[in-house]
Amino acid sequence: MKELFLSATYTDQKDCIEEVKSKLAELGVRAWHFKEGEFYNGRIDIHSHDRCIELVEQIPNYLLIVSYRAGAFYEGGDKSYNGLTVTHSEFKAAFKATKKDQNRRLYPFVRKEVWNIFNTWKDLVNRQEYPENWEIDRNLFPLLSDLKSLSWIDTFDTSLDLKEMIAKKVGYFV
Amino acid sequence: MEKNKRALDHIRGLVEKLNKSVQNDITLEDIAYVSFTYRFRLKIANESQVILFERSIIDDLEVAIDKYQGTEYFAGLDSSVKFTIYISLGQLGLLGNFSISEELINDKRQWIKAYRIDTNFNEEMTAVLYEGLKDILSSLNSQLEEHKRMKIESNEIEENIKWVESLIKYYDKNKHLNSAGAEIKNLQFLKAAAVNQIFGLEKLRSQENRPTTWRALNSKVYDIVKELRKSPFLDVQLPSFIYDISAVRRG
Repeated sequence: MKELFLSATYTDQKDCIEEVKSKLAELGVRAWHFKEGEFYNGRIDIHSHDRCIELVEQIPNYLLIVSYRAGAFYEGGDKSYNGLTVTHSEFKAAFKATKKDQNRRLYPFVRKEVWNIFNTWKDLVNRQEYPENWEIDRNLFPLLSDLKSLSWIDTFDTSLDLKEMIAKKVGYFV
Repeated sequence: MEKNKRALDHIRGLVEKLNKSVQNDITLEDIAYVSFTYRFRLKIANESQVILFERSIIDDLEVAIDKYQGTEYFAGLDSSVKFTIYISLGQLGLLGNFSISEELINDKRQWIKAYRIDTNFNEEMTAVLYEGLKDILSSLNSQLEEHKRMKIESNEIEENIKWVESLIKYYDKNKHLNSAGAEIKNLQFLKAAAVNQIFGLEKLRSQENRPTTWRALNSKVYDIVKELRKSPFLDVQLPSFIYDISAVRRG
């Protein structure tokens, strides 16, 4: 069975993430996700955020799902991730590992409205003029800026699109 | 609130429908949108309760109402919002003896067809599943005896008995129900075992007059429901014999 690290905020898209895990299992892919019982593998000597980074570095495929929320900030022991969210730290670790090993794969998926708002914001002359009706978490912007450096990302409208795109992309490569 | 109006109205309808199935009066006082979350403030048992729905699911539901009514995708979103309401209120004891098992056996969504997944159940859930399997075995054996007495076909029951026995043997040998690559049919039977335990707990709860014991039983019901709303169970369809078990349990 192929393996993949699933990186996403959980409480705001719980059922969607659970459905994605099922979809991946259906594709024969084992998803490593922090809500799984075996994620910590009995480890008590490591901060949970660092366990995430450790697994991202070990597992050759990385799937990122970005919706409206940025999630919690990294509180582990690696100072290079200070000030980043956990999801962003995981992405940085996956990106670094992929640069070293071309066989690794990144699968970034971003909710279309989030991506569009971010891109509009990037083009603003005065970025402090952030309209109040733009409802995305601004703590997402550093991660989204980093995603810009990738040659491609996929955007999705609904969780239905997301699952279909994952089946197509991940199912093809893994 | 204009944005996502149809999705919010849909949830309003679910609350009204739920109001007809429970003893406490539930009224929706208002809906507010605060930082990516829709907050439904309800009045129930003379207390205010807030149920939160994330923007992503409400956005998806709004699109699904327009484009995907009658599909499994729509059913899945509908199920998500319904169970958010049931669990939020039910675990506080505010739904009284509301039968969540009925909702579980009638749940609709896109079910996984073929699937292998690693399972790792905690001690408490393992005990629930094992006891549930033993109970199902006893129920299926009684049903088989009746079929034999009436001289009617019983292949399906015999097959289900074999499957339940193999899971019980697996536990007896390994003292757990974990597996690297559990198959869909095993998960269907394990899900049925958990639902069977909910039937039993609901029955005890409905006969219980002591508030402390009632609360503990109610809490156990919703702890199991929460497990069933996660991987590996969420997208696994219950086996059809659950309706037989349900019929027996409900007399």
